Amino acid sequence: MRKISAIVWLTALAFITGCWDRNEINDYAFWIGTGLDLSKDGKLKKSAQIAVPAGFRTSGGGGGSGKRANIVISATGSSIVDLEQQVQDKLPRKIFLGHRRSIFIGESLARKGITDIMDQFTRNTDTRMRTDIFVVNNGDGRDILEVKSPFNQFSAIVAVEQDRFCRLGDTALRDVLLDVGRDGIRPSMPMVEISAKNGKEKDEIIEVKSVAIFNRDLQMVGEVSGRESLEMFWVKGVLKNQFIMEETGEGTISLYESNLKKTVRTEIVGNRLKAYIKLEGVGRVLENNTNIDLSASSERRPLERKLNDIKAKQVEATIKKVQQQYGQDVFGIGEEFHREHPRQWKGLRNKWDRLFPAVEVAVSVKLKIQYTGGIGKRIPGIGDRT
Amino acid sequence: MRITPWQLFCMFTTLEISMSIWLTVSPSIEIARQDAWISLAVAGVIGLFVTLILTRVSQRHASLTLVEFAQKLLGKWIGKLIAGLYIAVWFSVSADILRIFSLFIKQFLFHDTPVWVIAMLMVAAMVYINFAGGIEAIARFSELAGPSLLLGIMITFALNISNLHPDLLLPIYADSGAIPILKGSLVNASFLGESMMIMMLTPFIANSRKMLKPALLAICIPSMIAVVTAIMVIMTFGTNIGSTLIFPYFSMVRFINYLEFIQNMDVWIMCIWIFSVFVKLSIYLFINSYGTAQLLGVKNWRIMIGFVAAVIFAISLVPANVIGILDFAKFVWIIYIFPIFIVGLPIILLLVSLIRGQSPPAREQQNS
Repeated sequence: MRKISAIVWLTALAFITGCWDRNEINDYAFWIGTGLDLSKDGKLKKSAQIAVPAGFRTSGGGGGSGKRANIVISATGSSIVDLEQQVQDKLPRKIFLGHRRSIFIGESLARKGITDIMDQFTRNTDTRMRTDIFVVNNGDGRDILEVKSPFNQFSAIVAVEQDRFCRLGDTALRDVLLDVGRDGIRPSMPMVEISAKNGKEKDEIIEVKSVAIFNRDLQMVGEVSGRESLEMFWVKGVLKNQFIMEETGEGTISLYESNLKKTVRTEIVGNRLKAYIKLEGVGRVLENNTNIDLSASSERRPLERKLNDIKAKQVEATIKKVQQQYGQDVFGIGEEFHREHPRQWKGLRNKWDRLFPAVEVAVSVKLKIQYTGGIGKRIPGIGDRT
Repeated sequence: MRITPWQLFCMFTTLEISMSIWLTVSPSIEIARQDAWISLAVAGVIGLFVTLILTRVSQRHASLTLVEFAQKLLGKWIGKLIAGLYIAVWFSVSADILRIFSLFIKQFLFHDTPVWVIAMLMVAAMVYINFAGGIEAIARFSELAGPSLLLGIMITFALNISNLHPDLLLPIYADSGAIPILKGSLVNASFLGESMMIMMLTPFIANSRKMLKPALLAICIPSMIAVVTAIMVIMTFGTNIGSTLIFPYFSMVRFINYLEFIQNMDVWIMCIWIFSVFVKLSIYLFINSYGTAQLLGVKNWRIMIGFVAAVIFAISLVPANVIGILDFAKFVWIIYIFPIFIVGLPIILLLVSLIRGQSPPAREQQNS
């Protein structure tokens, strides 16, 4: 009797499982990158970079048939998921969002505000939170998706790997969401741009070298770029390593700095808010165009001090620029006040946007030269000016 | 049917972990913000205290189930009434868990499959294990499921370390204060109170004098895991995302990406975790069938399995959506069931039992 019932159950199982959600892998269209833009009439325009498996195989095998391994599909509408349906209508396969690596937001949309598109990224369980997110500098998300990088079939993946400035990589969306809705920090996002020097570069190269600054309502208010963006992420505490080139007054010197750290002490004196930021790092000299003999401690120590002073001034200037030009606390200095003075913070949190520009920031930098590179002194005769 | 203390430990650990990492973390974060882990630690202490009472009550009547000793202590009719209420509670909990489990699987894995099909498959497995071996088969199964669940959770914790921002845990205590921390602890404390099912299981435990230690350990370890989970979730997602995610632990596991090739671990964890929900629901089916049989005076409790399973399945289809089921935990379980059935009645039973002066050693000898 028991055997018969077991058999009945097993037969039933075989019939009722897996019928509704049966999906073969070749029924899926893998969605790799998303571009979000503002269309001319103020609506949302969404572009999807979708993998085309046939093209993938030929170019992966070194054939280089010139075919693209992906297609870019666009649709215009009012909400993200509405657009998903429209993109689906253009595809013969079921879209699959689980492999999406990055999202590109056109600058015009970013400046208008992105609150309306953020809910979906955490709510929709088909998507993964491990996604990179960029603002496209002076351009549209779609342009980036159209780029054909020689390194990877998908420009959406190239951008993730290239996101080395902040070293956020694919956790950028999480990091943005972490900053949203906290009182003492404002969100910032890496920017990607196409700034080709020549025609060939135009379709192949993308650059990641700036950071977009957002306000409390998730509207982009400005950007910092190059060295300043690195310094910004250093103060925020997310930068892990960087190249530094400094003009010492008697020639330039370049270092590779790693193990970057920051510590912030804060102080509330009456009405004045003070923050003391200490930046640390371990360096390796890569280039020395000065006459300083790095192997002699008596010469290297003053150099270190000098470099530290120069760097501290630069970082202070960057912070001042952000304070005065944009007034948004992308560094998270407010959160440092929150941690150190949790009780006073309750009075500050709601007016932080007003208070932040007036915070007195003092920066001290401690870069240690641990290696002088492959040589100590310079080789006599190469650039030796004496 | 006999359960060893080790099997008891495995069974209870499995069923407590499955709930505390799944449903209790985000409500606690919502109330106590970044101090949710303190809440969960407090919850563990409350859970230990409650379980101590429950175990003491059942040890005094080691050879009887709740249905029998309630009648013995409070008289036939009041005893039957109380036992009936307990069984009604267990019916509602198991239906609730069955439904939320099916919805969860539907949301994360099978979008187009009807909910009742997922629930039906689970019920079929539950009925099978109860027919095949009753509580002993469940205990043996949990010997397998418990350790593998613990191992899986440890691995995900280790792999998640690179995603952590320790700063997000600060400042400690200043933002919330004592009242929110205590409020936040009620969620997990009440879920840990599911150990009240021990009152139905004592007659099957081989050496009931040794059952206090495994029962308490089975509260300790899940609470510690809940504390670590809360710390990890807060450090990974912060309090804002952490409190809004409905299943924060699974979102955290989905977030793991180690060396670019260990990713999408959620499928593995979900697989192990389904085992643990299965253990939990099977135990509920067992105590419901056994309890109903005793209550109605049916000699062969196996006859009740099919009936009880059908009722649980039917109730599980009642709630309209996921929020309705979560509301059951929020407005029924924490507010009514926890103070009355998990704290109040067991204390009364213990007091009555003490006053009536049953000598525990005599009962135990009868049992062994």
